[in-house]
This record gives sequence, C-alpha cells and structure tokens, in this order.
Amino acid sequence: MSATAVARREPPSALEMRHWLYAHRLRLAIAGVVLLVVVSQGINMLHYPYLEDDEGTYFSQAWAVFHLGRLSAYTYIYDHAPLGWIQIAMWQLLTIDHRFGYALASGRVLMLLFQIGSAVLVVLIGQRATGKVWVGAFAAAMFSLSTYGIFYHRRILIDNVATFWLLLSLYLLVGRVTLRRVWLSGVAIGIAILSKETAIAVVPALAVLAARQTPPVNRLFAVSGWVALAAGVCATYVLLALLKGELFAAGTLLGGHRAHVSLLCSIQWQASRASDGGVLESSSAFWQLAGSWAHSEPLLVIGGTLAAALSVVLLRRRAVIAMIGWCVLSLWLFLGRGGVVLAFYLVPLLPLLALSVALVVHEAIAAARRLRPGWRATGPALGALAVACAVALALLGYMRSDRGMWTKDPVAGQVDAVKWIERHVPASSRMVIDEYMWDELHDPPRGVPRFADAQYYWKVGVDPSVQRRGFADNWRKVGYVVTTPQLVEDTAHNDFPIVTPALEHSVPVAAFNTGGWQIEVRRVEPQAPVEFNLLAGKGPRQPPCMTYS
Amino acid sequence: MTALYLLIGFVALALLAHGLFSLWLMLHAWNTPDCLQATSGPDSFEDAALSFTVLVPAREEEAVIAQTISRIWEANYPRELLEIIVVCQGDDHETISAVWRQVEALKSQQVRLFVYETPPYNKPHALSFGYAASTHDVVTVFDAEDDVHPDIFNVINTVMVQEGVGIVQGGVQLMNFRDHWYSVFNCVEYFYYFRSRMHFNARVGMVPLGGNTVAIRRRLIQQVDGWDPVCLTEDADIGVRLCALGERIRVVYDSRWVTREETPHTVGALVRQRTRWGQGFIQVLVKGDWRRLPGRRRRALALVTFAQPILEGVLLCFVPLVPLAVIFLKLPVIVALLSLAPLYVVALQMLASIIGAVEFGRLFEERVPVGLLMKMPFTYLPFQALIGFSALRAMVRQLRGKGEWEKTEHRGAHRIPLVAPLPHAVAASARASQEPAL
Repeated sequence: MSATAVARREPPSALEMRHWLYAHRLRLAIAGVVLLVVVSQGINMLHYPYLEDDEGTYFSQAWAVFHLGRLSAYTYIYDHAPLGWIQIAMWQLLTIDHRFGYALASGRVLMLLFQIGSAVLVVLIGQRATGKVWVGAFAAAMFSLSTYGIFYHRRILIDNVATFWLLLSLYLLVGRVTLRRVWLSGVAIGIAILSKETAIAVVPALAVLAARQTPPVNRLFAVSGWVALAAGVCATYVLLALLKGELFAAGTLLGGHRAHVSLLCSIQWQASRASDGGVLESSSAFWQLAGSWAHSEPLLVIGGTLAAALSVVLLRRRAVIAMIGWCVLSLWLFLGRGGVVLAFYLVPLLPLLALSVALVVHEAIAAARRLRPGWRATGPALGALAVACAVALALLGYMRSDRGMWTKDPVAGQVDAVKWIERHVPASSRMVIDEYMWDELHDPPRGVPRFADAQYYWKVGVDPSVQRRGFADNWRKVGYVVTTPQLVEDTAHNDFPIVTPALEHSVPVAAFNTGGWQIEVRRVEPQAPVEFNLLAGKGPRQPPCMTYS
Repeated sequence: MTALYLLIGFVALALLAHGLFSLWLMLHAWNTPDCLQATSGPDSFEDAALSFTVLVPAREEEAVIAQTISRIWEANYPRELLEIIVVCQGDDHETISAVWRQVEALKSQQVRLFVYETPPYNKPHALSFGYAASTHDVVTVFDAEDDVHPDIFNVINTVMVQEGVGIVQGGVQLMNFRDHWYSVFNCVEYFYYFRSRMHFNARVGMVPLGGNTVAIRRRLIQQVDGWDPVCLTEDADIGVRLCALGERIRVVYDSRWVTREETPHTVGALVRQRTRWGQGFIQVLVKGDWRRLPGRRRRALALVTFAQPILEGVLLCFVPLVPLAVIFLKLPVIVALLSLAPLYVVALQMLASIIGAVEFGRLFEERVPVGLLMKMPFTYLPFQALIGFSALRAMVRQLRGKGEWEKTEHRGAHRIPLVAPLPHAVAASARASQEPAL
C-alpha cells in the first residue's frame, strides 16, 4: 500500500456530525427509546412489583402448553383466549426453561422484550404518520416513562402481549400502505384479540383506517382481506372449542348432557357480569377506577384523552390521527360498558394515548406555523412547552406512586417463602397456595423436591374435580395454606369450600414480607381456635360451565 | 398413529402454504396502484414497424371462424404488415368451406388457408404447419373463437419496440359470466390469471404462456424448435422453453385490449378442457424442460405451477376426508385443528372469487347481479369439486397413457351482438374502421 492511499482521517467537523446525526435520526431515536425502556422498566424489574397471582396463572398455563400438552394445568375454562400464554410458552421453549433467578423471572424478561417492541412501534407509528421522528420519539418517551405503565408492563400480563400486536396492526396501516401490509395488519389484530379479548374494541376503528388508507383501486381487496384474515384468526378459537366439544353449553340442544366447560357459556357469563351502569353512572366502578387512573397517570389519562377527543372532532380529515383517536375512545367505551374493570385494564390504552398527545402537539405546531409564517421560533417554543408540560405531569405521576420501582424488593420475601417451603414442608403435603409459586413448586429446579399436591386456591375454591381429587372433598386433608393478601381477600369475598375452613383453622408457622406483600405459611390444625373470621358468600359465583372439568 | 398424525399435519400445512401462496399470486397485482399501472399496456402507440403473421388453428369452428378472420383483417394496423394463416384439418369440411368463403371474400394474398392431413390432429401440429408457411417478423396465435381487439397489433408493436422484448402475452378474458352456474368462476379465474398471476410469473421469469393472444419473434420460435406436437398444453410448454433461453416475457393486461373468449358450454366440456390442461401441465412437469431454467426461484415456481393439478387432486381427496377423520379417528385436538387449515384457504379463495366478480364487473362495465354474487358461496364448492375431479381425471389419463386432444366446442356466446350498444372502447374502434365488422 502506498503512502498516499492511507488517507489522513480528519476529525469530523461539527457540520459533518450534524449531517450524520440527521441522516441517522430514526435509528438514533429507536436506539434511545430502547435504552429508555431498558432503564425505566428493566432496572429492578425482577424485584418490583410483587409477583401477582395472575402472573403465576399465565406463566403456569404457558408451562402446561408444552409440558402437559394442554392449555392449563387445571381444566381450561375459556376465561381468556389462549394465544397470549401460548406465546409465553414459546418463549419458555426458546429459553429452554432457563430461570433468570426464579421461575417467573423469565416471564418478566419476556415482558421487557414485548415492551421494547411496543415502544419501537410507537416511534415508527409517529414517524410514519407525520414524517417527523421527534413525534414518534416524544410519544414513545411518554409511553415508556409512565409510572403506572412501568408497574404493569413489568408484570406477566397477556394485556402487554396484546398491546404489542395491536400496535403492530396499527403500524402496518400507517403511512403508505400496500395490500400486503393491510393483510398482515388483519392477521396481527387477530393475534391481538386472541392474546387478550380487549383488543376487539379497536377493530371498527382500524377497519375504517384500513379503508381510508387504501386507494379506491384496491380498497375492496384490502378491506375485505383485512376483515377476513382477522376473523379467520379469531375463528380458530371457536374451532378449537368446537373440536374439543366445548363450544355449546352442557344441557343445550347442541351441547349434550355430559357436564363440561363451554366457550359460549363463558362468554355469556363474562357479558352478564355487568355490575353497574359503566360510563352512564357516575358512581360506577369504571368512574372510580378512571378517577384513580387520572390521579396516578395524569399526563396520559387526562392529556391523552383530551388529545384523542380533539383528534376525532377537529382532525377528522387526518385519517391516522382521527382513527387513533377513535381507537382510544372505543377502548374507553369498552372499559365503561358496565362490566368488570380491573386496575390494569388501562394497559392497552397507554401507547395510543401517548400517540394522541404527540400527534396533536405536532398538528398544533403546524397550525401555529401556518398562522404566523414569519415567526420562526413558534415550532421550537411550542415543542419545548409541550415537553415541559409532559415532564411535569410525568413527574407528578411518579410522585403520586409509591416511588419504589427502582429500589424496593417485595419479590425477595416471596422467593424466600418458596425456599422456606422447599426446606421445611414435606413434599407430599397437600397445600393451598397463591398461584405465583405454582411453577416453583410444580416445576422446581434440579435437586429440589416437587410439590405435586400444591393447588391454586381459586381452583380449590371453585373446581369440583380439584376438590375431589386433591382433597377428597375434605378440608381436614389440607396440610398447609400459603397466604397472600389477595388469597385472604378473595377467600373472604367468596364462599370457597375447603379453602375457607382450612384457612380459618390454620396457624402461622412462617411469615415473609420485604415490601408490603405479606406471605404466610400456615399449618392447618383442625383443633386450633378459629383465627380468621371470614365473611363468606358475597362474591359472584361462577356458573357450572366454568367450573366443571 | 403418530406417523398418521404427522402425515395429516404435514399435508394440511403444505396445502395451507400452497393455498396462501396461490392466493397471493392471484391478488398481488393489486398490492399497490403502481403494480396495476406497471402491468397494463401503453397509453399511446408507436408507428407500425413490425410485420405480423397471425396463426389461427381451427377445428369444427364453422360457426365463428369467418367473423374471427374478418375482425383480425379489420385491425387498426397497416394491412401490408399483416398475414393471416388459418390451419384446418383435412376431414373438417364445414370449417374449410367457411374459411374458404371468407378468404374469397377478402380477396387478398395475405389471408390464406392451409389444410393438413396427417396426424396427430391437434393444435400444436396445426401451429407448426402454419408456422412453416409463414413469413413475417412476429408470429401471433389466436383461437378461432377469439374476439380480437382492433388495436392489439399496435399494442404488441409498441411494447416490442419500446421495451425490446421478443415475447408478448396479451390478456385473455372469458366474458359470458351469466350463462351457466360455473361461468362466473371461470371468468374470475381468467381475470385473476391474466390480471395478476401471469405478471408474477413474468417477473420471476417462468411464464407458462397462454394459448392465444401471444406474440413471439420468429427467431425465438426457431431457437426452441417450435411447438411440441404431442403436448396437450403446447402453449405452457413453449413458454417454459423460451424462458429457459433466458428470454424476458412481457405480459400486458389492459381491459381495453383483452381478447374476449367464452366459457365451455357444458359441465362435460369444462371437465374435458380442464382435464386437458391438467394433463398438459403434468406432461410439462414430466418432460422436465423446466429443470433447465436458470435460477432456483424459477425452477421452484415451475415445480409449484406444473404440479398444481396434482395438488388440486390431493386437495379434493383431502377436504372431504377431514370431517370424517375428525369424527371417527378421534384425532388429538391440535392435529384436528391443523387438518382443518386447508378449509381456511378454501374460504378465503371463495371470498376472493366473489370480490373478483365485483372487480371484473367494474372493470368491464358489466353489471354483475347481486343475486349471482349471493349464489356464489353455494356454487363455489361444486366448482372446486369439478376442478379437483378434472385434475384427478388428468392424472388417471396420464397414468394410462391417453394423450389425445379433447377439444372445446365454441358457439360465440361471448360475442357482443353488433346491434347492441358496445363498450366504449370497442365502439370507438368500430367507428374508426368505418366498415361493418362482418
């Protein structure tokens, strides 16, 4: 090599640097958002929040998919469509059941991956909708810095899985669309619905978006394909029930007489759980929760909803913005339909709320520029104002939380409880447990005994086959009850056979609490004086079709 | 038992994959408006530069042949650059005399009748016979019942001159969708085939050419030694061999210039036509010229294309067996679920057929009655059963070594009566020629 060929590398000038940054702004934004999620959600995610009962449920049902060849270790009662935990099951397969510390930790790692995917999709949706990277990055930042969001995004919830697919479906409809993108979007929304049924609320809005985004020459192909593919994916669930002979309720014309679970009966029961007037009644559970959501997440809940309302009224002509607004409003209406609402139901709304805010800010800046074309500082000034408001509101949300998400470790006590049980409780004991420890006890690491007779308290309470096979219909057969606050509360609200009397006649032998979530290992002693005084029989009973096996 | 489950699962997934792939081929031209634009023809014409030989093989076509010849002769193209060669079989006296009367009436040395006496009596033989007598630059093939658009030679001339291609396949469209219960499916099949699927083939570089409205430069026909006289789908066969040369094939579909044809008149005729195509494809598959195609993608597409009749036959056997298997074999749920996967494809393709009928009506300004669309879900399965049956019949005939030509009869049902109002494109050209077309 000659001396001249070795070009002297000058340090890049400031202008070159700026060009480089500008040319790579989308990648940089994505990298930044990924980093943000890894920091905000990833740090301490295995220790906070405490492992909730539902996390154990989805994780153990996922475990059952490939280890037992079933959709649940107990009788699958069609309470939720199974695709969410089938994806978790694939992750378990992929990680060869590697434990990131404790059993459920691997599920939380998966949730981090889903959240990274969701946040990147938010960047891309914002960028494709406006052509501006900052819109996507702004939305993704609000989405990943939401204190409420971080709390639930860390948890193993099928809502997080469904949110990712919902965003993917939306992303495929934004920007310049092709037939292929529209169809893939239909498949994605189908997967979202089968991951968690809530996603069905956005179907009308997305279908209209699909129609508005395609030119007339291929609109018919696009929209009918979108609908057919989404319906086709969802139909698999119905087909599954039909093939298992569990579509129609027992005792109906097509259901036969043998007692069995049934998809239609479960849907009917879920629909009839309407407890109040929803949005129409000011004292409903929905408004109470909405109030607490607005308190803990003011930026997205109040700001996002206002932005969505503005989008559907003032920005009707902007297909993407208006239809994202409609997605938000339809999800709100779905939550406010008067049925059961739980604290984590806001999860699929968060990214859409964040997008609404960012898109409306972008439109406001554009409108201000049109009004005052000479005033060049309009854009940056308004943008800075929006960011400042967002930061203030996000901080307010953080101040109102218990501020432990990067420091507290309630999980340690839960893990200690499991370790204590493995050392001190005979493996043959019949136990009633909270489902967070189901996987630890049934699928223990090498060298640790397996507790095959540890049963989930809810199933012990409602599933006759568990009561019969596990405990011979006799609460005195229960050796131990491992309580969590949730177990005690649910037992108090429901007239559970076996669980209630066993709990009442138990004495604590060990207790663990490293941050507000008390775990007690209690030995059942039939002669012991009644310590708990549980008021029984207040909760809704599940119909036979959701309990029979 | 596990082996059976694996087999069922494998067949079901293969059928699902193949079905989705064909669905994509059927519809990919609509992927973007640009795709639609790129696959249609030119908007203005170049000056006439190429001379055309038009080969029209005719057998038992006395009802339609005269009009076909005069339509071609009336085309908007300099007559000195046209040459029409009609080829008849020696014992087909009615057609020969009908052609002869028309040749006499046109009084031109460039419109000629050739009669061949030696077997095999089939289209490729007739084509080779006529080709030997022809002289012009570009050889085009039309069928005796074709309604040829007056500007078709301008289109081909323009495409060949502008794009420098040696082979142009024009669109062919069955038109009489109201005549029989199966016609609409037949029309939609052609619609998807020429509007979308063939363009995919052209892009990949593996095109089973159509039987007519195809134009090939003389030297290319020489290079591949003409048509295979014993192949039942000589058109697809020569297409593969032309592609093996590495020659680019341009497919032009424009509703303005399609060649209009008619569906078979009876179920029997439909089955015979389909059997011939299926058997022809199997012959092409067995002959193996496709293995000389450059590139793995082309060979894979050829394999999928020419194995189509076999897959259709398997699908026909598989689909009715599924419910029986589900009921009597007590399949595990996951296997049962998998085995139902091909039904999704059937449902999606049925939907595609209905949408295709709507689009077809819109493009050709034909009113497709709602009643007909409503009937389609019920007539779709019987139609698929006919296709599947024909595919099985083709396999059986091929295995038994029966290779003779089963011809489709033509009556002219696709032709627009000249007193009736014409679609504007045709009407404009009819006015331009200032002479009655007949």
